[in-house]
Amino acid sequence: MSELQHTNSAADEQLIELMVAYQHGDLSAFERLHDLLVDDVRRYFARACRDRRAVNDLVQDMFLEMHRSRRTYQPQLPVRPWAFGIARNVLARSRRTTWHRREHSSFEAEGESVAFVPAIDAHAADLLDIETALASLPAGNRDPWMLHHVFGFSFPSIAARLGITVMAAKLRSSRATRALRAALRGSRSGR
Amino acid sequence: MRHSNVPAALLSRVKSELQPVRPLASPGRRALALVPLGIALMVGIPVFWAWYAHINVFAPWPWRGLSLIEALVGVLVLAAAFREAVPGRELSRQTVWIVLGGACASFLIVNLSSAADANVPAETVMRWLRECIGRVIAFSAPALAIPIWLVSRALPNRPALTGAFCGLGVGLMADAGLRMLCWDGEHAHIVIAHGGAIAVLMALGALSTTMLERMKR
Repeated sequence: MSELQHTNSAADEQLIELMVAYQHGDLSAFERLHDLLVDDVRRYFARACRDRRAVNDLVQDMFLEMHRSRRTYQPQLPVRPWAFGIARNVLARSRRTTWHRREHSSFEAEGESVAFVPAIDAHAADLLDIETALASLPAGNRDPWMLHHVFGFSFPSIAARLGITVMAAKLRSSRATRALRAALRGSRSGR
Repeated sequence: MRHSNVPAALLSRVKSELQPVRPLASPGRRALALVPLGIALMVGIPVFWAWYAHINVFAPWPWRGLSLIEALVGVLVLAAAFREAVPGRELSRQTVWIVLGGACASFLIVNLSSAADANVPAETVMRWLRECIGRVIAFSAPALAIPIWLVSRALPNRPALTGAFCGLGVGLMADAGLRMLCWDGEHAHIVIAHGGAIAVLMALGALSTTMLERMKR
């Protein structure tokens, strides 16, 4: 029992040291903190949310919020209650967004002025590559990318439409861009 | 070199914004920083309204001591609000009730123990109610912006409760000043006018903190 307590307090001490270093601007401390906390944070969100992709988004949102609010951490206090306080905040915000989306389900009917902006001017072969690459993307990443880059929606409106946070919409679109870039690079080198 | 498990998008975002930060001061220290605000409300309200309404009668000295106690309770309530605003340091349900109960008790004890019945004519009762509430709100609503700004620098998980505590703290400080000027010691007047003004400030604090938190995201 006392050995377990000792291990816990050593882990807490380590988290406190890392958090203080992070407040001083040490990026590697953030990476270590992320690695030490991410599993527990993921488990916390997984209890509240079944969708794995949504859980991943929430985890990223939580660490981003932790980064923004890092000045609210008071040194010498345990890090975990503070981190999970932020996780609670992120979860409550996500629930509010979902509720808001349900409340505004008529949003689709009302419509929004959409400027169709073809993002890519390319040859037919390239278009075919793009279509194939797009089809290979997971729908969760493809939709925000299409809505932003093809249909010209802003990220806040995409977030409202898909019931996710603005940050999640940006992250998913960015993931899709990276995947597309990698896929297109592969198809061109193979040609 | 250590391999990081942080997603690339998150890492690049953190990297681009990473700068050393100074941690927020403890809730108690931040509340102490608002003592000048409490003094300004406690002194400013009677002085300004006495000048404005040409009143020369001030409360006797013992009343001023009790006002100081009420203003100090206001500072303690603000400290509770600042603590509530920090993630992971939220007040337990029991502590919330203790703070609310303590604030109500000190308000009632300070006001009811020292107030004298002024035998206000029936036609003036409503006017005095309006005046007391108006005087407190006119001074306290702008002052409320300061603790709400301090709270918004943290990350309150229960913004309505945090804002209500801010309103309660500022309301007690303002009432500490008003009671030195108000002649009406009728219990109903104290509860409805002075307590009502505090309740309005609590609602204002809860509403503005909630709205601020929604706007921040």
